[in-house]
Amino acid sequence: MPQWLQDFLATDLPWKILGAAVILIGGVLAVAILSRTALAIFGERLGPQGTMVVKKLIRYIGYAFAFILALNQMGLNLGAILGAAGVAGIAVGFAAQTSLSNIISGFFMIGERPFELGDIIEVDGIAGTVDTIGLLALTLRTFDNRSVRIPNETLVKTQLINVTRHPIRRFNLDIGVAYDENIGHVLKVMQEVAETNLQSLNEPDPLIIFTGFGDSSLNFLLGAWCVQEDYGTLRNTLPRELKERFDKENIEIPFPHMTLAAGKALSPIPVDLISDSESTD
Amino acid sequence: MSISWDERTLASSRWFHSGAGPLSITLLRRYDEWRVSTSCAQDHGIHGDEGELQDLPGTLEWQRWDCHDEDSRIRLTPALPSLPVIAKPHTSLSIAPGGNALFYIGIPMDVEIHGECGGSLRKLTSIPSETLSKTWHGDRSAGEVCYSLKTRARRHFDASDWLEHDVIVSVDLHNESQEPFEFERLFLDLGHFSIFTYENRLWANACRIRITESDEEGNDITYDSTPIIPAESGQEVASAREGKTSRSTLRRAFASVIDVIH
Repeated sequence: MPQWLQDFLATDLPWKILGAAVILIGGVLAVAILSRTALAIFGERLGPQGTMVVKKLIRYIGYAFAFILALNQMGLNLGAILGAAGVAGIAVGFAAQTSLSNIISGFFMIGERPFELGDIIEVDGIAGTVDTIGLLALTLRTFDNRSVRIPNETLVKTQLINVTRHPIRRFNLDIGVAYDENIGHVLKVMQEVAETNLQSLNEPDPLIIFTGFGDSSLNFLLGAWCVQEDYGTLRNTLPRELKERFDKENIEIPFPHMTLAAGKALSPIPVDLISDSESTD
Repeated sequence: MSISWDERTLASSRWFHSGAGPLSITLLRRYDEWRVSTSCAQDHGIHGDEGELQDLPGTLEWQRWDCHDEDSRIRLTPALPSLPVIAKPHTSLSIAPGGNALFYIGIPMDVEIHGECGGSLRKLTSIPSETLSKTWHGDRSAGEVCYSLKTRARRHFDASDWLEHDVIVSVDLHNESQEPFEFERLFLDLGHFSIFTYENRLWANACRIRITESDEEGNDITYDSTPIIPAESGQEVASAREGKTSRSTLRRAFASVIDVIH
């Protein structure tokens, strides 16, 4: 055995290294066991996003704790390290205000559970499917397959719309018809279209109302309920079927128009008729 | 055109055609596959009940299933729709305390197509004879999607009243509460109904619903093993999807009946 190895083994350093290694390995195992036990007990209550965050939290705190214990085992002065860490912590705390805010916001989100993994939500005008939920942010997958990271703090501060929380949803269609049309007849036709559409639910009753006198049209709202999965199809079929039925019933959908007057409000615009021979001259 | 529910064989490049109400079904055995074409158009361009491949119009759209060279057996069976049905009578009926009322409701059948694949019959597809619109059973936060069915809820059976593709379900409502009972709509979970054929009509086993004062006590739905008279000797052609039972063991389904009716 070489001399340097004999000298090394004669010190207590090998035992300290061995002890630190045992603490690190034991720490990793303990974190895994603790994580699984906590999730088995609270997993159902926390939901998928809570589970994910708690798992990460236990892991980070557990690893940090095992690391500190291992350093202590190595004989490093833990008090000095923790003191330095405390001072550094204040500095880091100032620098990491946003991150801490995001983490704390994440806890609020876990408690409130306004959405689950896989839900379709809309935040700040961005809509997409909730892909991952992290300590600092969540990731949305938009419908054109882009990935958008939204900090948890933003979720707490801004309006969040969960589109798929409830099993049924209403599709609202605004439509205008010409002033010549009979309002009662239009309402009846709209009712029939909603009833015969295959995606539109008969109950809850479709909402069909006359919303008022527009600039160029009599305005109506048709709100048809459907199950979430049918929403996309209903958005395509209902306007098409309504247009086809209006065409069949000779109900006119007017384009915006304006009446021009020549100075005096009630006088018509003067029109001079020119014969073909004059116009070609 | 009435459907034969018997098993039959189909040689390669041969087809046969059948129909149920507005639904027209064409089955073709071609190469190592089954082909099925369905249409609800009145003029589907098919003449005759069976024939050779070259007799078929080229405009048919096919669904295809792989099978073995020697497979030739095929069978059509009737089925009830896969979703529960909410039947609404055109006009409601009040049933006095202690009274009962027997209703007949016609539910458009689905047609299941079973083809031989590797020596045994396998369900290929299921096609509704009539597409029903959907409705929601429950509140806006929770519930289930159902088919909506407007019915005349006839009180007496007359064969001429019923369409060939309807499965006739008889519902005997007994009002055992102290209050008049307004029958406005009925939630029917179709899983425990079998289908029987009797004199070219399809029947489901009869059921009886008992309405009592409390939803928690005794309200229940009881299924007979056979259809009501005159079809009690009908031959069973399709068994209940969720198995036969004499009494609904699902309180939810049963409570739903009461919730909806009230």
